[in-house]
Amino acid sequence: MKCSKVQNRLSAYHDGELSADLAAEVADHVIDCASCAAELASFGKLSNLSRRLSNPPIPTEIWDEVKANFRGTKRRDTIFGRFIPKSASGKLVAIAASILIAAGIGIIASQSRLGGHDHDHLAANFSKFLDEFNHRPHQAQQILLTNFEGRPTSMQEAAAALGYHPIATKRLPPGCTFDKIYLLKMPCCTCAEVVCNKEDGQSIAIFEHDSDQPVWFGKRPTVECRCHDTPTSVVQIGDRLAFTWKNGQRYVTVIGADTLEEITDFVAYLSTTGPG
Amino acid sequence: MTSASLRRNPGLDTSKTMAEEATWYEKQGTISKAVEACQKGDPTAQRCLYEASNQNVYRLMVRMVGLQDAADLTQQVFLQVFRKIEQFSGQAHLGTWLYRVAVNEALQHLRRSKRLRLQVLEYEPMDDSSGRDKQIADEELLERALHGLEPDLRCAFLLREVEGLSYRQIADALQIPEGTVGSRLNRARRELKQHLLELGWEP
Repeated sequence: MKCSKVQNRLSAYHDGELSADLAAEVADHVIDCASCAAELASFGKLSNLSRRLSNPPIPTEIWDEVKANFRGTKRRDTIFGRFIPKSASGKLVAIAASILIAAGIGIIASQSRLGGHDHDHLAANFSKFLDEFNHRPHQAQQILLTNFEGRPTSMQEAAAALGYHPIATKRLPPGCTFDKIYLLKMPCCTCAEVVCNKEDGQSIAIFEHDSDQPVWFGKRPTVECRCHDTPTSVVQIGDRLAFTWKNGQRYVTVIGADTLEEITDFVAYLSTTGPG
Repeated sequence: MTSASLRRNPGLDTSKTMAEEATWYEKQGTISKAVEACQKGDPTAQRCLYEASNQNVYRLMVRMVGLQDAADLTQQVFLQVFRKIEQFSGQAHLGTWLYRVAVNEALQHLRRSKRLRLQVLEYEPMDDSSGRDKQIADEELLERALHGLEPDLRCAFLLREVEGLSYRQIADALQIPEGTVGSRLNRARRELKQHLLELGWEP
């Protein structure tokens, strides 16, 4: 075998990837050819050197990032609407981004769910409640009670007044415990508000009402998505999230979630069919 | 081809190869069962798959795209793997498939950033008078010389010499004919040797 042919096969010979016949021919040539023998020896030295390369330490954050990003793109959380707010930030953008990554859809739009109707008074009062709820949920509650003839009530009285048992009095996601229930006279209807506590001590407010109320969120940017296969509108309120969806004949609005996962759990547990 | 056919790199004492780290799957049954669990979104199986292969993917990424971007791209690789694992047929070798995803991600990144020549590994400057151990110095030289290689040659070299893949597995990972692997390795080794000599390597 000539040098040129041996040179072409030298790596395969070095790596033990040649057939026995070809390997024997290369071996015969290398014995008598100083040039090819030197080349083969240098391949050996490179291999020895490569084996001494150390492993770079792996940042521990990688798995956390994978887990968080993958969890946010589970199949049940797929894109529904086309509202990616330019002005949105933080969690809402993260949710929007994760939803879009999952669906592989690039969408840019700025959208408020507030229509052209004159709901300034309601929007202003509810906006005050939302702003306050982020840091002082008890003070926030007073804003609602003052402006919407609200009063604390019992589950039985609420059911009698409303003609139905609010869904949040029947079941809540794991980790949430019932605290109080209020009746509010909102412009749309008499509305039940259930306040519950999460394990971390944060409050969650759950409203059940007769019609969709985008006016509650004013001009806050909204992301439309599917949670638990249910069209759900998500709004960022300070550091936390509010979301609303149609639940049977009525609508449910929840204030105070922290993650898309948590939103999905609420929609799953409070939906008319329950989780699963 | 089984996971056990992946060659053990004796230089990597502080880590295990995919073959060794895949024992979890073997204890639990077969790799296909682990893949099946991942395909159903089982977080335990996903974590085990990650633990079994993160070292392989990350060290390849560090040497392909540099330390600065390696973590982000490793994350992208595993996100892709978990999202696309439903497409994994089981006929391909799981490790080879992971390498293929990793290599594609690295090459795409390099094409995007147009940074084909990297100066990213943060090693101390060489100082011949320092009396540092020659072996350590040679390893540093190799890291530097590797970044002088074209990405497709660097990939082939790393998959062979660091990851210990066979030519068939390298061909699968790089999606090239098996016959091309040897010629790429020839070029990679010759160019690497040249870069090393220019950096002062004394073989």
